[in-house]
Amino acid sequence: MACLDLAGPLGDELIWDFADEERNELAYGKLACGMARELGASAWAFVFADGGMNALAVSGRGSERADMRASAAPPRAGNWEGLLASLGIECRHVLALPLEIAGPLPQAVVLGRDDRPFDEVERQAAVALMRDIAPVATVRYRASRVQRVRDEAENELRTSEAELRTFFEESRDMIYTANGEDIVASINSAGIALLGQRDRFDIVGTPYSNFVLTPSDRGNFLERITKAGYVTDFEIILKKVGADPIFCLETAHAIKSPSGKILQIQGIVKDISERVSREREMWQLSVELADTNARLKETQMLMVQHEKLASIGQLAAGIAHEINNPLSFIVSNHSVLGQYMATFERAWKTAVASDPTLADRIEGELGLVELFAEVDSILRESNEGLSRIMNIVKNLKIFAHSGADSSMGSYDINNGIDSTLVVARNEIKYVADVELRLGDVPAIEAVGGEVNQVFLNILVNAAQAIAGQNRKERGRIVITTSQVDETVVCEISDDGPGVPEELRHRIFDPFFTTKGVGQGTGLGLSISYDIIVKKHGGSLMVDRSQAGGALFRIGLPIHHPPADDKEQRGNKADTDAGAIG
Amino acid sequence: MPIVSLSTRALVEDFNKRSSALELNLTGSADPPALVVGATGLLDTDSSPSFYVIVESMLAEAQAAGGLILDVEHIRYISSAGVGVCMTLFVETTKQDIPYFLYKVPACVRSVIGVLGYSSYFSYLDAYKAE
Repeated sequence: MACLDLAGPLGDELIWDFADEERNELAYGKLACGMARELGASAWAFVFADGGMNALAVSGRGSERADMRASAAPPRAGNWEGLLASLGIECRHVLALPLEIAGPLPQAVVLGRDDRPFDEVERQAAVALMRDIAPVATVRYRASRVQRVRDEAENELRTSEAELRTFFEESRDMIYTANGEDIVASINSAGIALLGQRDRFDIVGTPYSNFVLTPSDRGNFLERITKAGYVTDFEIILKKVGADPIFCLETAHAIKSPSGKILQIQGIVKDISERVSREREMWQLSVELADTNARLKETQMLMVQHEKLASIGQLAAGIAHEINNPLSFIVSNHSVLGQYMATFERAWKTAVASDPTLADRIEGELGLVELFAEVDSILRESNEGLSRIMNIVKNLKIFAHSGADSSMGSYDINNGIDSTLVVARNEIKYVADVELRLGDVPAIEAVGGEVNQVFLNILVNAAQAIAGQNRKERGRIVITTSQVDETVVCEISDDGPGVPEELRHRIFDPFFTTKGVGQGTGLGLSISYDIIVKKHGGSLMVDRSQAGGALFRIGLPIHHPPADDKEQRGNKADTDAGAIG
Repeated sequence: MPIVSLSTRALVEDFNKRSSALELNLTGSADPPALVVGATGLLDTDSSPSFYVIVESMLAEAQAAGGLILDVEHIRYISSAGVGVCMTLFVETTKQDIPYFLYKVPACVRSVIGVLGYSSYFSYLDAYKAE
């Protein structure tokens, strides 16, 4: 049995507190116990119903309070003796006094005693007392009710605020508010971290645009939010202290005054840097892929051109071989024919010597002396022509040697130049004279036919450049060879227009040409570069000649290192040549 | 003006009717020879996809004209998606050997291109001779 201090007058205890059951019981007990004391009752009970309309009661004897009892149904009116009995309080006389307060639940004070019944005076006094208490109890009940509602509302508000605070603070995205002038008013921890700041107050009070990489973008954002009242997934780049700018998506809405003026902007900003970074990688791959495709295309073109040149070389070698056989027997026959003619001339001279009239008779008719002289001249000229044909065929065979065999072999660079000049003679002979300053250089390891192709490209370019000047005097092409350490160097210079300095770094690029449309593919020097630098590990440079024209300097190693070193050397040579070219 | 097909012009007109953020116009350049696609407004996440579709459909005409100039002088805002479109056009024009220029790049566009690290990919043009 709980002991409550029920003695003393009714005071502030008579305040219901719906959040505090004990306090309620105290109030109920105090009221009923006080009434019992006033009216000389020995037993008392305060009966009320809970929210489920179950009857509950606080009861006791004197100032002692019994436990709270409950019954399944509300007490039936009039059976108050039974009620007290059900609470364990046996009384012969019972007085029930309903408490009429404006509450949702019926309430009553039940008093009991054994010694005498409650008379009318007592009953009226009790009713009067209840009537006096009722307004006070009603006010206190209502106040308690209001207080409870307020307390509950405040609790809910506190809970809600705590939840919002947690949401605001614990969000992984930046959440902020800004005032109508776009000055940041609040920002969460994620926002502080996102901007790389240490303190909230480094941000609060600052214009939002201060944190935007391009302030005009924020202007754009404000334009949109002013017009629509909200902005969804607006991409913006924020500045982060001590780090790269960050790509973000912002979703925000504006709180506006009735006149439409923005009072507050509330926004959530999501860091999308990782996504943008992945997109960047994707773009990078696309660009690299496109670049690789372009290179492949160039390489394919070069290969086709290489193949064409190789085919032409093979064709030239084939033709040279085919010409060589009939040429051999023509030369042989021509030689025999010359011998026969000499024999015939000797026979004629012998015949004339033995019969002088014969000379007068036949010489007069046929002019044989002159005829013999002319035949001799024809034979000599034909012999010279045949020698030249043989020389051309021989040089064609030398020039095109690699067309059939592209492996490295011993190669005499001076012989290569000679044979190339024979092939290029037709291009050069009308526009320029060639001066050879060939040094005593050793044979090198090279694919002779390909190196000859380089000489041919450069010589033909020189001749065409000189021809393009449309000048009166003939041009001059100087070819020198020399040995520098372990390299044989060949310089081909001309007195043509030269290569402008700003174009020198590009002339070995595939498809770069200064010639008119249809006059050049722009692949000749690119292929030359490929042959000399990449294939032979040499160097190819262009410069200005002393005569003001172009000077091409070709360096070829005498010996080639083993395969492993070769690759490294090739790369190095590539870099060197690129830098100079 | 370089030869632009009627269907392309119709596409541009339709684009301009539908798009409130971005407006396009087509002109030509004599030097360098190119089709000039002028864009005004916002090249953002919303407008970028349709912008790419329409410019991509003009690549054949740009090739015939000798090149493509993207006039971005009047772009007021560009997102990473917008720069992505410029990059995709770079890739496509490279594949098709079409000279491609960005004309009069404003600061707001230049900074986004710079942050993304794409500045070196583009050829920039400050003037061209209108046809």
